[in-house]
Amino acid sequence: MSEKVADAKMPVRRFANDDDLPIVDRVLAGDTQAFEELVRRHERRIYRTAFAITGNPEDAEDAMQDTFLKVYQHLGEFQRASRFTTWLTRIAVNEGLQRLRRRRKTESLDDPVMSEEDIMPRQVEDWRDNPEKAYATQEIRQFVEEAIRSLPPAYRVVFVLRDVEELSTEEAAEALGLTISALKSRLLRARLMVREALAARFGRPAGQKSEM
Amino acid sequence: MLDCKHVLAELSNYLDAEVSPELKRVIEEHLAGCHRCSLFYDTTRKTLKIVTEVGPFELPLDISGRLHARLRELFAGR
Repeated sequence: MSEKVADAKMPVRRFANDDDLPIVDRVLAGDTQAFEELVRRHERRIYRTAFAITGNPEDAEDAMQDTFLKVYQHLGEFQRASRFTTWLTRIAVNEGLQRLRRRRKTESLDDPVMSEEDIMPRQVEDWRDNPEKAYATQEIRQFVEEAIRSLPPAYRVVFVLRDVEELSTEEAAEALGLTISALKSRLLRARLMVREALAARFGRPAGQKSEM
Repeated sequence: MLDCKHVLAELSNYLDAEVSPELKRVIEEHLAGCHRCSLFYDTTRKTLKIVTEVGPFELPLDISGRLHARLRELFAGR
């Protein structure tokens, strides 16, 4: 690819557990099939991240395609100071944001102004026992999807990266360009909002006694 | 003793086991004596469990197919 490849082969610090790196090396050596392998490993997660930001399937697909095209063209610039997946996610976040801003000029991943009142839980009744057993998996999946979709983008993307895609706090913060404390504060709010949305489905019907 | 507001502020860190042993002890002491906070903790924990259990979202095959078709065009220099 580019002459910057040489730099990439002398990393600042390698992440010993980054199992993408051998594939990255094959791509840099010109193996296009290796790139397709890399894409297959990450496409689901990258689409999911882009969808969390844009909230729109067409924009998410477009952002995902452009993310992988950019990654292919700029792979030699990957410095390996973070895991490959973090670097890739950061590119996807930027692609998603560009499309979000095109659609909604005022939209950003900045923290919306929210008061403490906004995050104070409102649904205070207990949930029915084993709510996940009262519905089919497909129904529960739909409730979860709806709950996530109802969040503002700044919270939705944090929730998806941390609790759906299970990135670490540090990785999610790096991918989003946030400090650890900002990430944690949004994660708390996001979790409480998802809880609130699910409580509407799983709250205990009046009169049902807890077995706990 | 922590008040409810502070417990709520630490709820996420507590769920992620990212609190000091001392803070953990104080939070647990509060939860044991506060029905409301204990309920928030329990239902938030259930929320995360449910989100994990519904499993990964599958990428529709046509979306993946279009992506790989575009990559092959790129490789072919089109």
